[in-house]
Amino acid sequence: MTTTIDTVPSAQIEPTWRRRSARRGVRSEPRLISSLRSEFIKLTTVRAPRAILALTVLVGGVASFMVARFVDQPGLNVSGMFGFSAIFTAVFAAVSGILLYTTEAEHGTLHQMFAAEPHRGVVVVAKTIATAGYAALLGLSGLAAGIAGAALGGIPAGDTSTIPMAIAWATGFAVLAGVLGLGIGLVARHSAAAISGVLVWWLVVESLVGVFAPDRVLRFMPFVAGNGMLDIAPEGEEIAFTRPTTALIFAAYALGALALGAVVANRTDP
Amino acid sequence: MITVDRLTKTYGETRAVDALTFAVRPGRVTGFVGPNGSGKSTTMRMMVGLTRPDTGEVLYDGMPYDELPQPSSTIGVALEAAANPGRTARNHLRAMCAASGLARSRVDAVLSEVGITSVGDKRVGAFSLGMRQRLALAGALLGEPQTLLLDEPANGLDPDGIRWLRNYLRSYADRGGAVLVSSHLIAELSLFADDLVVIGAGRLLAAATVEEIANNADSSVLVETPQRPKLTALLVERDLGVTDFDPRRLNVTGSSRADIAQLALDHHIRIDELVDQQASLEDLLVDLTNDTAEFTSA
Repeated sequence: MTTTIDTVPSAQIEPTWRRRSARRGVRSEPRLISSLRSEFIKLTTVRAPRAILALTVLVGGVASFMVARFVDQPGLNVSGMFGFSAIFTAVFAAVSGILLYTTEAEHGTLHQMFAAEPHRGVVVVAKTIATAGYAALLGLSGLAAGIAGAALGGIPAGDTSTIPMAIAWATGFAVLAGVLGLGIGLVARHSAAAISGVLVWWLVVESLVGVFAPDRVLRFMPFVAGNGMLDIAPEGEEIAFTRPTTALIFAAYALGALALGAVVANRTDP
Repeated sequence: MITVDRLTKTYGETRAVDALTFAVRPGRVTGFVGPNGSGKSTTMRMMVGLTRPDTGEVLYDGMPYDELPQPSSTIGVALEAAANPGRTARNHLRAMCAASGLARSRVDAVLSEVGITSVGDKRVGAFSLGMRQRLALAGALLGEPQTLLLDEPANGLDPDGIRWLRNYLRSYADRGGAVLVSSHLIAELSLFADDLVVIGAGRLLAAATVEEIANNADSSVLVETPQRPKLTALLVERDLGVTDFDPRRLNVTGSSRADIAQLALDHHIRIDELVDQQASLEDLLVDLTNDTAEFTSA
């Protein structure tokens, strides 16, 4: 491959700063808006976010279709089961939150970001908003695919009046999972370590805790609480928290991780 | 003008930067020189708030970096040729532009300025190191800054690219900009830098113009004569420095070619060759930093 480098003779380069030195340092918009615009561009100009969105839709739709088609359970209907696809959606949201920061750390672009915006808190807030927005998109897309998959599986619609509330809780779960992932990414700054850590905790550690610890302890585990937002309770339902309480517990984990991540980002050299 | 004042950074037991003080003036290219591990990159990172100094400060026309309303309009920074390989050069610059609150039109302007417009829509993963260096420079130029801070910008550039960079930075300074550029290529740096800041083990070893530093380089005279012992004795009598170069030649310091020729003539000593020898700037800087270098050649 031959690449042409169109070198401009330096003598032809206009001394632009002399013309604009008087307005040097004048920002046309608030810092947070600038950082948000940058995050939006970053999210929409690489393949990974689009691939994760596609995967979320595919997995959510296929899982719901398979359950609807092949699980023989009395009373199974669309409104009652589509929310289960939100578990996968939340996993993808957490991974996305991690990648939003760790890819920058791994590609060495963090220093450009922090040099452009020395107030790192602004960057963390912008990334949190971007993560929440993207996770909400994943949540809604995954749920839509879940409804479509379940309907295509041929089961009855059921009580559709519960669907809006189920969507709200499931989307909230995805958003908080994304924020939790971002917080872990801010602390770990390494994609493989952060993603494997979250998945091992989610899929292995909490299951082991479930074997050895009583339910009154288990219900405080982050993803057990998160599943509670989907109305999926562990065994021992008599001590299960209400949905708002599980949301508060999971939010506490997510915001705690984010706060810790913000401190680490502020104190650590990129 | 950038003033670096008693900048100090310690990692554990290691003092990476030790009370470093120097200035980068407008209209000048300042070369930042030192061996590997001497603290150049740490200093540059502290200058733009990426690493927090233990003590000391860096001021841009009297203002700390984190108080600049729009840092990229004051100082353009290229510390490494980093970009997400899955993103195109244009989109990489768009994201940087947005983060700094700059107009999107600057993207095309800087792509053209560094000569990579034709590859602007290609993914950075397909770029050579030299092209990534140009992209990093384009990022530094987005805010039309008055000062450029570049860490080893010639790494990966081919000879034509190095010449282009040299001319570009020279022209940038000639138009009133201030340039601080670190490099291991001392001979290359001496071709276009006005000032040199030399550090070793985090400490300032020299901060002066290239001419001032070059004038401190040792000069000597290489003398070839078949009567080496006789001439050596005469030179030593006059307290001149004499070292054997080979069986027929001497290296003499502290005297001029003319004086040595006159001395030889007065004592009927045949001279076959008489050559002035000037240590290069590179030799001088290597000597200057040798005691502080973490890794040295055998």
